[in-house]
Amino acid sequence: MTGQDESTRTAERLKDALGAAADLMAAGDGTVRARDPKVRHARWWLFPASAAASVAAVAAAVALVVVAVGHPAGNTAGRTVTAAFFGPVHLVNVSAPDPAAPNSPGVQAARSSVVKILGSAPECGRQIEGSGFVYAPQHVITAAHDVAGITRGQTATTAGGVTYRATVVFYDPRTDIAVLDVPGLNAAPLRFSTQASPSDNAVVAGYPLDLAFTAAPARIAEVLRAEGTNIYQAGHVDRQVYEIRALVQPGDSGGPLLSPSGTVDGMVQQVNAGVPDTGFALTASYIQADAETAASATAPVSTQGCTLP
Amino acid sequence: MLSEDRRQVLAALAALPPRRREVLVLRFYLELSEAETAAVLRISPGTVKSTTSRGLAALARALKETS
Repeated sequence: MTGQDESTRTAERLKDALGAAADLMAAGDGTVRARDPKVRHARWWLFPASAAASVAAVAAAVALVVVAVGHPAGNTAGRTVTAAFFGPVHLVNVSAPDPAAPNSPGVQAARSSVVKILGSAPECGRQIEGSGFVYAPQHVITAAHDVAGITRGQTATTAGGVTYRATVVFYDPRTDIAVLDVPGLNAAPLRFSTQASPSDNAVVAGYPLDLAFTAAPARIAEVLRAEGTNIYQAGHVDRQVYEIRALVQPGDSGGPLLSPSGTVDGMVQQVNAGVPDTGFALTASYIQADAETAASATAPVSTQGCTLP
Repeated sequence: MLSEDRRQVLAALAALPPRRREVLVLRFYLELSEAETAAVLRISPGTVKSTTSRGLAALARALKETS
């Protein structure tokens, strides 16, 4: 085979792989249609179907649209595109998670401290469910987008099925972190660990798809600076996240990314990375300041408004 | 799910130096022309051409190693 043939063949394989990845990203897009399929993918990312505001994806999509329409936004935009857009693809270099990770004694012990979060936002005609975990006495930390706009029936339910009334006492749409005061919930607080590094085993723990407690194997791919917006898709926010190889499903967000010993490496985010077994988690270091601020708060705060549907 | 073959291609792409990866993505994903790619990245069309061919060659080498 000549060099030219090989190049052509490699280019075809590359197009095929990129196209397949793009199709996966577009899966589930039933609403937005634009003439250029690539712009459509980008728009879908801009307005993700899930309640979660995407993080890296939003910034990437903005830049992608800029490139797709040929806007002369400059060098920086072009660079950000590919770096951010294809960040998730790094993940394929990480080996599959250890399927036994969820069975470790540490993870099993953490189970009773992982709760399901549920509440309703009648103004938006919506119920929002997510996951969270006890990190201080009677205090649960979760994702702000899991409680955004909720005015009624905020509860936290344990793996054992006991439901407690909860009050949002800290709400930060910028970091996407919220804290609930849950009187009577005496589960042991989980501890944060900032020691996780790429290729470490981990576990996504939470209540995906309205199911019972689920612990799914994960592996940390890398630490990224994710450029994005607040949960209302405004402003500019840089978050520190772990990119993980794991099946992250709706409802998992706000739950802990556990190490096999049961400490908390981060908080799982519901962000579509474009590759099905890729997810993100805010790192423990990123979460810690907010967590400490709210660890003994009891005064209710506003959950502002709902995020975009 | 992505097939193993596609995964390998994307992994090899991700492992390329940023400039080569950018050029390949703009050329083969966004299907920009050499001139458009040059304009977006503010490099010369000649650089796009040479980066593309070196990028594809590097990709082919990487794929041979993995398969």
